[in-house]
Amino acid sequence: MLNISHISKQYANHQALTDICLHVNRGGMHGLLGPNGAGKTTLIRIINGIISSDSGSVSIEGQPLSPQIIRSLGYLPEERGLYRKMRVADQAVYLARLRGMSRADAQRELTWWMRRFDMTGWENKRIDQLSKGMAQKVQFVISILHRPSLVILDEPFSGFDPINVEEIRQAITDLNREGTTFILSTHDMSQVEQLCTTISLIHRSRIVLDGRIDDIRRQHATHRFRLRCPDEIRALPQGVSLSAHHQDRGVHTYELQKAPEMTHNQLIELLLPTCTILSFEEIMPGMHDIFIQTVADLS
Amino acid sequence: MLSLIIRHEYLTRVRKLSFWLVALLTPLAFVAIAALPTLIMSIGGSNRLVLICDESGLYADSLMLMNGQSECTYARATEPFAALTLHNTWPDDDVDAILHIDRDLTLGGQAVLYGQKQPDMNIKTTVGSQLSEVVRGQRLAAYDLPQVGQIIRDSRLQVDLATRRIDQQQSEGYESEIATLLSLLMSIIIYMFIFLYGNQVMTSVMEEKQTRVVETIVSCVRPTDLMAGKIIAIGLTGLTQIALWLLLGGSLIGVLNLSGSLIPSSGGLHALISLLTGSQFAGLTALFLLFFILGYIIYASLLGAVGSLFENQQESQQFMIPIMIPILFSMYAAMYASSNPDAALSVWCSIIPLTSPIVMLARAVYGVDTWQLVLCIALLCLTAWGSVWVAGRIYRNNILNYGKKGSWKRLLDSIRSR
Repeated sequence: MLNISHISKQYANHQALTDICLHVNRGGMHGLLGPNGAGKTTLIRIINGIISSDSGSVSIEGQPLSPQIIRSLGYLPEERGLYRKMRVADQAVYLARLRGMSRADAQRELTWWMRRFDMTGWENKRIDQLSKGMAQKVQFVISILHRPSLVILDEPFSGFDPINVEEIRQAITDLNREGTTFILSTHDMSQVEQLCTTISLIHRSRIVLDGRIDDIRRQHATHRFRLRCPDEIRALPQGVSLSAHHQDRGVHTYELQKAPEMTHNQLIELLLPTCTILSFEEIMPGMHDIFIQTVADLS
Repeated sequence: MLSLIIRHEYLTRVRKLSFWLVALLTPLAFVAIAALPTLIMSIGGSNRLVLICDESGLYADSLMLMNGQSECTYARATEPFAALTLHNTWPDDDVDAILHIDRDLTLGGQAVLYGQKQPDMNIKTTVGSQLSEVVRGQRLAAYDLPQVGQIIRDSRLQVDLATRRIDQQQSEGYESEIATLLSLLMSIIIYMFIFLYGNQVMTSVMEEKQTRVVETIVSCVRPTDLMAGKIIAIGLTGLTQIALWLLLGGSLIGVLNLSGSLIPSSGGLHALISLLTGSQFAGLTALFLLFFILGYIIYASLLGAVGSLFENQQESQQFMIPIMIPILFSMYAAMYASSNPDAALSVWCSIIPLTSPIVMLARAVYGVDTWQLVLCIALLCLTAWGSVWVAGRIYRNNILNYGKKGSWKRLLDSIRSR
């Protein structure tokens, strides 16, 4: 779907992006992560054709970026903003028409989304008559109104209350299920884990981590396991150390650390003689921890 | 896309109440400004009572014969001046002034006008001129010449000097006053247009940057298209405004049938109307539109570029001043050029691109050498292209730079970078 090849961008005295390569599959949900100032917004603006790169190329469905392709994208910028004195319907239709949609189609889609988000009647309100959250919801609708095949959302959940976060998250999931490809730039790691299948972590202008979330978490596995059993373990097997232990209503929960070379089955075999296993699971690192660890290691 | 932007920007503006208020009220304001002096002058002052203490006995009767000819009504004092103003008291509140003439004015006598307060200019002028007329009349009578009054009236002949271009002896040339008026009018309209609508471009760009809506728009249209669309749409709004003004102004003048005194020429309104319908006016109109468009493009694009550097107008002042100075200077130069069309200052200011849109029009009415006109238009076209190019770069490189202070360094960097 989206192929970014060796993109670099330098501002006056600042290298914003260095040799960025990225691939997002059709129908994928890709998280674009990175600390503030890493270069995410610059990359998003290059994909949107807002600024040009110094070198490298961007293609969508095998086609190099062109005004037609750029218009077909959906984009929710981090810096939200609409015309304050303009009616919701007027600007939604105007912006959809700028993206190549007909007036009638835009109006029909707007009505559909207003109904879905329980916003019927808002069309005739001016933006300055809406709360900040309401205006952001309108802007989300505007970014997907023309049914784009690739949508780039920069911090889509910021400024929303939990109910609206859930509504937006559900809308993204539904559209993704229907085949829309998403790129999500966000600092909300729980949303990344819930929604995204692949991620790229940009740090100091370079991609430092890239791939499927499951693979990345596995790569960053800390070899820690959670074991629940009714008995207290008197002695841990060799090669296994205790990280934490607590007891609740007769059930003991152990967090164990195994040696890296030990396999899961070997660990279970070693534990079987020591207790009756109620449950056994690997403690996988969260994206939050991976993000912090990776950035800290590189800093 | 460009047409969509133009349409949106244009309709957004012409649908505003303020657009129609300005469109409807400006011709009224112009007519009011033009008519106000005449109206004020036509308001008669209240009747003023002037007591005459004429110790010479030569002037009081003649002055009293003039009662009814002006706002001053003369009455002879019943007491001598000294008794009348004993202890510096004022005889009667109904009396506005006392004219004291001590003796024959032709023999060194003195006339003094006293008031309870300092007498105003109006009463001084009226009494002074009427007293002068009386003295003059008495002197002429003393010569005892037959028909002396008629001879003097006949000698006051005023020659109406017509002005024509040598190549337009047979055709309808412009009278100097009308030419000056017309050239100034056109220059003022261009000046106002550039000032008002150039500023609108700047504030509109700033507003889009401040509200951040610009990022949503430039993700589907090129930044330069957005700026071009804005400049064209605001330009069209201005042209619509002017068309409405002309329509309404014309109708108003027609309906009110204002007196010729509103137009500072002997021909008055009729001369202006015949001029506006003359064949030469078509050429001038074409020039007016050309300078109008080119001048507007230059200044609007530069002001648009300044708008892209800032998020509010206060911060932009340091960049506005260098752009506004040539516009303001142009207006003064145009005033000078309308009276001195071939002076060196007028010629140079009508060729230098930043002043030429306003100044050349002030000269064009009188006729300008073809080479000067061609050079002026060529330089204007080049400058318009250059300013659009520079403004496009500044706009593109700064419109998404939020929260950064505009500086000359940033401005130059953004022109240099791709």
